[in-house]
Amino acid sequence: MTNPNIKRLLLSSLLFYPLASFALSDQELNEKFELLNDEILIAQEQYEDTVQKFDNIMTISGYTDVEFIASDKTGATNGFRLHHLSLFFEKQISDKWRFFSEIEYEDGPKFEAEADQVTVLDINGDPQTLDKFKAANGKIFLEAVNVTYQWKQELSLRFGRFFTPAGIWSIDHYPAFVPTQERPQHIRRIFPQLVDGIDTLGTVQMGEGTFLNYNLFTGNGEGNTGKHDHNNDKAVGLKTSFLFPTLSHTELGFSVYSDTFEDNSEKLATGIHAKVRAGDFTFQAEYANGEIEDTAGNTKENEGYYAQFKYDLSHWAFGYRYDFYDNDTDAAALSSKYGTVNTAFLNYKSSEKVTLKLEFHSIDVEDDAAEDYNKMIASVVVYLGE
Amino acid sequence: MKTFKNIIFLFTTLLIATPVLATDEVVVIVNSANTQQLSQKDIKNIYSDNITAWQSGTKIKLYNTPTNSYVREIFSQEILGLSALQAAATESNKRITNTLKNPSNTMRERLIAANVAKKTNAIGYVSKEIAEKRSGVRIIFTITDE
Repeated sequence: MTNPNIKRLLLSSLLFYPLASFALSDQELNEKFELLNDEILIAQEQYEDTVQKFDNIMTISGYTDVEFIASDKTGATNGFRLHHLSLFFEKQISDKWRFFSEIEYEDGPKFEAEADQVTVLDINGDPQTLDKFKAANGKIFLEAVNVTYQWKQELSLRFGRFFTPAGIWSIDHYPAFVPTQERPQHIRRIFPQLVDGIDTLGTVQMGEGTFLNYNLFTGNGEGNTGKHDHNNDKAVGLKTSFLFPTLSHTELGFSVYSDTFEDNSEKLATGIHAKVRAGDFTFQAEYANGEIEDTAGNTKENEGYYAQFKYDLSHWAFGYRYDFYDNDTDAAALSSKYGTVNTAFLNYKSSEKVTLKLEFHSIDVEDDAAEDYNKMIASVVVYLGE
Repeated sequence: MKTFKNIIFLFTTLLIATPVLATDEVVVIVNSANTQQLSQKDIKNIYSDNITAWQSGTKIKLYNTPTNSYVREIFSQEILGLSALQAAATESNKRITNTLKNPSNTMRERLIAANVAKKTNAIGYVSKEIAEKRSGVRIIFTITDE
């Protein structure tokens, strides 16, 4: 090879090498681009899968609260109360079916078996040997377990155990979202706490901004266990709430409940409720009346009502509630337990999930001969959900 | 002296401009294939769980931003008449009392815009800037917080 040829070869190499390198880089870039595109598509699919899984996952939420209670009632002791640990399990089983349950642990429950055993008869009448409990503390309670078929907005069907749809506080009662740990006296004393049965529920639009929420339900009635009903008569009830497009929130409604007890006495409970929110100011009130008539025609009537004013100020809320309950309006003897309760409360939301509460109750019992007293509760309530 | 005047002018301009700069527009968006018109009351009723389906009968897919975002605060105050914390508490209360018919999904604005662009039954709210950059969404309502 001559020198000029070597020179040409060297010159060609010098000229074409960078071009060849660029061509290779473009190819590499294209390959990388395609790889990245694939990665993005895979990531999108993984995201969709994850979202779908999250939509259908069993979620666990709950709340817990600790109280310090001080009272000037004779014989009362001041102290802490590990009031609740409630756990909610929810699952959207399919597009239409939804599962919900609540298990409540109250007052730090402790149940411990001891060496002794006891023999009981099982459901077939056969003897069965079980461990005995030592003295138990607290309560573990299955407050709700139900499945709902969400057919459409106007109609859903719920099967299982649920809170009795009646008024406001029977449903909206969880400490994380109500201003006081103590509930108005008549709640759960006129309408029962729970129903084991079927509920038809829905929301019907009646105009622009006007809605009717309803629950029409039937169940075993109060006093029954989850196992069976004491009789063949079923309790029936109806709750309605009308929402009007005035102010921030205007709600008016009524509730009815009828039940036949094991001794064939008849119960009829009726109630009305109202809730109005204007700006930061909320007014809420309920009235309920219950009448029980035995087979001899004797009646016992009880009634209760409350009116509550609440003002929300950023993280703070404060207010007042007047509350009255008479457990037997016809009785000559006056109640030494129930009467009028004046309540003042102050809430501070230290974060989205944590509320500090201070409430003062002045209890004036119906019987003047009995002792009136005051009670103060300071509490920390933590909501454990999303 | 001229420098001093310039400083005064700049300072005054900044003071006047600040409220304008602080004006944030939040918009309510739906998928661009969704042609339904919504009033402010409709949006309130959707986010208050009173309306859970579109006119077509399809269930509404509802998006919220986290409670610490300014768009959530503006949306909650102007549409629902509640603070973001109160609005979140209202939904949480409905969730645990088993009265919530249509739970919302909480995520950040850009993800909301992306999801609304993808799902024809979705509704959400984001800052106007994010909505305008995202194709596939339609602005149905503008909230101006001044």
